[in-house]
Amino acid sequence: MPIVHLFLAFLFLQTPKPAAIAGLVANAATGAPVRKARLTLQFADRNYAAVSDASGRFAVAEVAPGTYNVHIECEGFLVMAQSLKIAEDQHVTDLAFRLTPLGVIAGKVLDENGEPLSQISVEAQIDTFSAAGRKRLPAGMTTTDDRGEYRIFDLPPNRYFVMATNPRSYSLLGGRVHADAVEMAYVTTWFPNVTDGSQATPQVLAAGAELDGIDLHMHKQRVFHVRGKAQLPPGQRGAVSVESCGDGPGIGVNAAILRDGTFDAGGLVAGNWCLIVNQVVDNSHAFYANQRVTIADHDMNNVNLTLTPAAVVRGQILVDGAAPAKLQHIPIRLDPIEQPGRGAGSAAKEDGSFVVENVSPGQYRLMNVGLSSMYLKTIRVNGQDAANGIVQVPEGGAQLTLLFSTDSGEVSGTVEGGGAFVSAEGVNSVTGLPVLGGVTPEGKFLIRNLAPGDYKILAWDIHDIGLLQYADFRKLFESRAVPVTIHLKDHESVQLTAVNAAEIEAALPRLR
Amino acid sequence: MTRIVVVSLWAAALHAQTVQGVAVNSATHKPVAGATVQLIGPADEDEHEIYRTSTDAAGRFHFERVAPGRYHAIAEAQGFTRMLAARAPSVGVEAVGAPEVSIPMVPASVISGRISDQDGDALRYVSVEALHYVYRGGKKVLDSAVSARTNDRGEYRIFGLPPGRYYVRSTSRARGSTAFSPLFFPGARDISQATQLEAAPGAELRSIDIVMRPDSLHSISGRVVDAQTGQAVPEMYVIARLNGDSYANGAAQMTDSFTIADLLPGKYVVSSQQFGGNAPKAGRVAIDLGNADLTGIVLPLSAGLEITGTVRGLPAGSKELRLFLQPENPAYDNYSENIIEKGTFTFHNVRPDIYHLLWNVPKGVYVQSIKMGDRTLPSDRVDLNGTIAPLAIQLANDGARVQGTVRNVAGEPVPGAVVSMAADPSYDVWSTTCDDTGHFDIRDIAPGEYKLLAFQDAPQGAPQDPDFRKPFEKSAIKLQVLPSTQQKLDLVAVQ
Repeated sequence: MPIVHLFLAFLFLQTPKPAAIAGLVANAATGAPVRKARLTLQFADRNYAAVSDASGRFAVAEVAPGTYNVHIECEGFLVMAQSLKIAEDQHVTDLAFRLTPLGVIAGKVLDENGEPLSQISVEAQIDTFSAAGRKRLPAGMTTTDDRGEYRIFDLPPNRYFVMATNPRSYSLLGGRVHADAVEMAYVTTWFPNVTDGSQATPQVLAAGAELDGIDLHMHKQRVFHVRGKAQLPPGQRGAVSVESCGDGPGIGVNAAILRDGTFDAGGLVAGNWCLIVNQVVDNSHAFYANQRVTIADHDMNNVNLTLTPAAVVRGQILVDGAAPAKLQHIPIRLDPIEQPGRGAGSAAKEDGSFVVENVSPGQYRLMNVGLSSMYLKTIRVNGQDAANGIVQVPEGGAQLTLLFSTDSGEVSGTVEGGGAFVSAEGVNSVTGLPVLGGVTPEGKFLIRNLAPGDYKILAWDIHDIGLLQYADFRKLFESRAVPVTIHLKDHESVQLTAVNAAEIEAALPRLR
Repeated sequence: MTRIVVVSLWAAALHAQTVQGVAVNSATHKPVAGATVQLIGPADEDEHEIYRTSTDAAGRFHFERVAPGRYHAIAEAQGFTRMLAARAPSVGVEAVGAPEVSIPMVPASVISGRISDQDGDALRYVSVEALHYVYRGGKKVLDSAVSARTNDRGEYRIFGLPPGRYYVRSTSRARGSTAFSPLFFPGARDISQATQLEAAPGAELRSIDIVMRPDSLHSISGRVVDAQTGQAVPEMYVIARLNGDSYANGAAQMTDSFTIADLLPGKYVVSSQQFGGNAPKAGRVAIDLGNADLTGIVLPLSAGLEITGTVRGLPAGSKELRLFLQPENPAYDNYSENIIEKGTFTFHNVRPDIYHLLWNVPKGVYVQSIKMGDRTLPSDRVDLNGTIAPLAIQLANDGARVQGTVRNVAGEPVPGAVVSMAADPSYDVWSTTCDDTGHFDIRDIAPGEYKLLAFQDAPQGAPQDPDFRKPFEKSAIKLQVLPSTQQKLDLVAVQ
């Protein structure tokens, strides 16, 4: 209560004349008015809300001046956020917000006789990119109904791969399964009726579009078992997760490890599979196995999984050769190079020391380690310099030293042809990742804290940071890069022309 | 040791049998092709022996080399109701052979419709449930059988539904400051105003549409105080949970009061609890939020009760005795305690409320009496609101045994019939399910005068409910059970 009184008193003393705003919410694809859109205006502790009427119109009377975050939400549209400066006594009546409508992919899943298949999981997948490469991830999913029909809605405009999977829907009681010698099952199928994901054809979904008739025909194929042993520590219950090894044929299964250590994973199509055990005994002990098997034309029996205890990675951050006194909070993340794999992470303490527990032996990429006003100069693993940010963790664990330096240079410049980001890729980069800087609406950029050395600079008119971190993608535009040599405590200036969105779209198919 | 294992494996292989049969549509009596059939065997801890195959074009299935034992045969296929292993036909595989098995498969029903707002606009992501009454712990409760979610057109489709009588309820999340109270078809807030729908096997109930209207949201506010001193307790987190709902809204009481905003009208339990310390305090209060903000709620915090007690008459060396305190208000917490050998128990930090004391007692004994202090309790109902005294539970081993066969009016045995024995007053209802020859065998029955009833096709758990039994009680058989006796009698099932 006292706070409100104070605020009223403030208003009374200042007497700023309130503004009034009004406008229209429309569908960006069709121009049609959008009703029931919810607008919220927020600035400091001031909040206003409005809902658009049947003709898409909204109005907020008595808005105090300020620079507001405007948020517009409506079901079936992408959320829109932008900032809006409202001056004292300003009367605006022609604000226009154009919301991007979301789309629909719909169809049927049918069996080899054209009969509907119900309870089939259907995913609309998109390609996503990161330093680790391309990964196809679901953007929407649903299950077919009793008529075999599916409808995935609220999809942003994109290129979608449509995948149908038969979830093995037995009444799952744990135990020892005695199955038929020859088993057949509906296998994972992509549109247009291919069982190899790399042969799938993406469907272009425009804003607000409905792609109907995306029907999938599933066929039965011979499926196999992988049986074997995985000896867990006494008293532990766990499971073997059978996953696609990245180049594998589809969706895997989980198989319980029985008390006698045996497991039986069924329903697997021929191809490469990774058998993974990831057993965390308590917070500091984990056991891990990752073994690749290739199923040809018969069940695989007697597969012995060797569980190795996870290692500990200890580390120290040094700044200009010395341990820091009061380091800012910095997360340490190790991402596995081999997929599927298991990442690990922790955070450094104020003195720069860190301990990452439960790291399965293998190769990792050290992700996004950054400290303001310095750069990562060297990564040392057990006394050896590591290249491209790749950290090899042996079975006995590793000692990691991260050397940061404040002896940096910087680059600035102008960008023509729009552009959202500028990337500066070090020729001898320690992390293997480019340093990114934002481009202002006026077309200017500044990237500080660069290690002295040779760089390739590029400007990009896209917002997908993951794509810019993907080395193979940047390589496609290598010829457009401007070479720059950054010197210690010096400033370079460059003029860039942004790689535009259409060029990027045209280049993406070359990324296979 | 190794030699013995080899011998027993060889013996099992020698006695392994072929099991065959047919999966049949229970409505049309036609065979079901392409069904997955599983024989679920006895569990060693939670590891079952499972045999799996599929039916051929004639609906027939065939298992080779099945080890002797008792199995449940379940069959699954598209368009049919999912079967629970415990309710599936039971198959006894003997060393000398196995009978032909017929597995009835019930065609599933469909309920479909559209959920819209007051303007006719589609409401998406609305959860729509088919609800029916089931029996749990001898009580009739509303349960969600199958649920679905509306799509961008507001359409839903509930399929795979076991035929039966259902209510349909739609529950929508809030959209901004607009919120909707859950509604039962055709548009009722309360189930007493709702229409019960009859879902027939393999049939579809169409146009089960519900129009949801926005409700105004209100806040509740009040203070958390110490029950002893009446002083405000700062820095408590207070939550409000709608009865029967798993969602909770919460807000922090920073200084001397709390406010929880944006609540739909309804009956809530408002609660708060301390964590850590020797005697963490907790409190709760039931409120009814109408169409206005509710202020001035006082939520008193008190330390929980220590409920101690003894159990006498426990068989030597038995490890399996477990006691539960089940609150009468289902929105409140359960407590459970193991008693191993020593015969004493303590429930820690129990909220003062009315509870039912439930138990799992070992074979060979029954609960003869429950006392609180010197007072013998007439039933399992324990009121912890007043003066508390230690509980004394007396077990006895002079229970009786009653066995027999349940037949239908035509004189045929009824496999799977449920027999219930209830006395008044009594601490317990004895109930069992007949085996596949219609035979039942109930042990450890407390001496007394009982009414016996046998039910064919009763909903699971229903025979334990006095309200369910009541209409049938005129058909009940009265039986005087004397200590340490054995009786045999045959019953005729009521339908």
